[in-house]
Amino acid sequence: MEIRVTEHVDFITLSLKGRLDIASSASLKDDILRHVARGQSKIILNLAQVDFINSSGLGTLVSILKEVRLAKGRLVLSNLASYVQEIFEITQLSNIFEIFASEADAQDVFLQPSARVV
Amino acid sequence: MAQESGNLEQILLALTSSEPSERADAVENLRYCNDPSAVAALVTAIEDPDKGVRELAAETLIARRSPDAPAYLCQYLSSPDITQRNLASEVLIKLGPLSVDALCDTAHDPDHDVRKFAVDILGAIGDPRALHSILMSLEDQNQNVVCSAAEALGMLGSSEAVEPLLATFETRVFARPQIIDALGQIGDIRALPLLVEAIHSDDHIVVYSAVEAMGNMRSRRVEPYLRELLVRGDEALQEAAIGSLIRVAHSVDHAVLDNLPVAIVQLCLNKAIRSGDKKTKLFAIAELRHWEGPATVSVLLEALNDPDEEVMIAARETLSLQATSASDRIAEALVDAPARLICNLLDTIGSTGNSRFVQDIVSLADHHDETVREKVAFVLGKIGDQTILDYLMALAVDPVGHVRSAALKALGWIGADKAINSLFTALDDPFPDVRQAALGALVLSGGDDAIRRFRLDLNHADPHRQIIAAQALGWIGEASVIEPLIEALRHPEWEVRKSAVESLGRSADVSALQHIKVLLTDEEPQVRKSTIDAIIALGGGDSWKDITCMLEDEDLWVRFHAINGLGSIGNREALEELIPFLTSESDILRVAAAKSLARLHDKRALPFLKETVNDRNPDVVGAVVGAIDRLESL
Repeated sequence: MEIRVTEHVDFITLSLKGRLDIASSASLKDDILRHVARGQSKIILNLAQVDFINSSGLGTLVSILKEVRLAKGRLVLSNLASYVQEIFEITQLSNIFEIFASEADAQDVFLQPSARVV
Repeated sequence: MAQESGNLEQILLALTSSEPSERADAVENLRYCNDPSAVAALVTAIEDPDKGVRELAAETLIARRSPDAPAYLCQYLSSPDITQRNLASEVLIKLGPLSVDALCDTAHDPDHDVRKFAVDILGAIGDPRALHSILMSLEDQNQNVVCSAAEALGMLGSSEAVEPLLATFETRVFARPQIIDALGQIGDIRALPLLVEAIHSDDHIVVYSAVEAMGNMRSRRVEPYLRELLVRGDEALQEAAIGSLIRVAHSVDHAVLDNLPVAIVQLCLNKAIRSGDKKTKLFAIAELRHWEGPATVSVLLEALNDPDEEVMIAARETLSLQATSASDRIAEALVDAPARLICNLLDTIGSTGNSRFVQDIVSLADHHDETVREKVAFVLGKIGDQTILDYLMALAVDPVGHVRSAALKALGWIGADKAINSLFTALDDPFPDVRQAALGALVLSGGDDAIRRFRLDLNHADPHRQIIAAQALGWIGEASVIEPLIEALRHPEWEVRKSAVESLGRSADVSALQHIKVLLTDEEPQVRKSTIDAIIALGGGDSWKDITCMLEDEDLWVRFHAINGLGSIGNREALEELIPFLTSESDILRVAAAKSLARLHDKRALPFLKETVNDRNPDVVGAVVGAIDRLESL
């Protein structure tokens, strides 16, 4: 699986390409947790080019979501292909992930007016 | 019920009936009476001894919006009967701009009370046409009229009133608080020197009015003066000053709040949440994210119960950020709270994923309210702590279907192998949502045990379970499901074969291709259609060769599917296979062929398409013209 990282001021976008299965999910989790450890815990996962996902991949996404939440971050998904969307519906994961039709919609979540730091 | 104007006399007679219901009918009839005297008669009905009749008359006057009504109604402003006066005032306000001229006249009535009422109503209407009349009232001999005029000018909000108000401030000392309030509402910076002077006044009322007014100025220029009040040692004044700074921060710049005393800011924000309008509440709730502390938690907990959904969600988001430091207060609030508040608190906890609350949540697993039990299951799933599996498994057999469904979803999110038996049992639940949740959870768990059980289910006595098993194995998608799915391609039930071939198509395992191709000759057309899709998914651009044989399938819809499939593959070598279908006997095949030819991006198709442009079927012509346009634009 290829992971392309785009860093923005307030968040990062990880664009995934390929299969999200047992072979690729461990490295994805490591990658994301490295960003979280650096304080980059506002994350968009763009799944537009994920052409296959299975239960291992889904389990990894759930596990990543929990870690990001514990770090007071936010993980959102965007651009799910219809097959991936279908499997999110079947597994009811659409109830626990924030899913957006486009990356621009997902970015809106993080592009709130900048907060004042006391 | 409409009445002709010729009946007016009868209606007026009915208005004097001893029966309130007859008088009410008369009022109702006057609503539709076009006679000019009807308005005067309606106005007199606000004197009616019966409250229902009076209110009906008022409602009718408002609905009719007659330009004559305000002049009649203004006469009641001098009525000694407070009920009549108030009702007339209410109708005049609701008639709005229609009342302005009559009220401007009444504002110069010899009776000072009447003048005051008229000015009050003009202020409430807020129509700028009343400005000059109210400015004249600012010079009235009566103090009450002057105070009302100042208030009304504030409500009008016109900057034209600033200079007259400033001048009156010097001459009419009794009206200073009202004048300051009005200047604050107008928000014109020209008033600042006067407000600065006012905050140094010996009169506390004037000082507080000035502080309040500065909060409305929408300018950072007030900031140093408000900050100056923070060192005066008067706590109430500090609070008022910070309240005003918060309003300026809201309207101009957050930085206004830098370096302020935390406790007082929290207090002011808390007050804003409790008493402000929706916008102020939302601002204050968002601002509290930066002023974390025990004092903020209580008010956020209160806001979780706000009837406005947006306010409640904002409070939940802010509170979730403070969930760690506020955990004791949140846990305390979970006990004995109303169901709605518990659910909101559980959502707050769920959004943090904080396992600190697990014991507090599981204590609600047997709550009498089913929405709470459902939320408990949902939040436990989001927190994902393996220690709570037993509670979730208990909720998975709850008497209420949607509680069971929530518990099963949660078991899936946690990935509970221990719950496999419960999940398989739930596949036979009478409620579809519960069965769906169980299936989703089993797909998510995806373990060897689930795969083994689904493999067995391929031969389940219930054909529906066989189909679900074939689908589920596909969604699980692990390498170990390929073999049972290939086996299922030979299943006696065609729906199982169909699900198996679809699952293999999604598996992206090219080794399955040779097994799938066998189903191109399956006896069931639905299976052959799904096989075409699976071959395209796995075989990519080269799969066109396998598909072409299906162009001669006995089933029309399979041939249609194959033609569309060749279009979606987009391999130009399929061109010669598609051309003959432009002259097929079947309309739908001709349409499909034209569309697929367009997708091949091969201009060699143009002459054949042009020959078909006069097809007898307009749908075919539309598809052909579209294809020609597309190819010619290449």
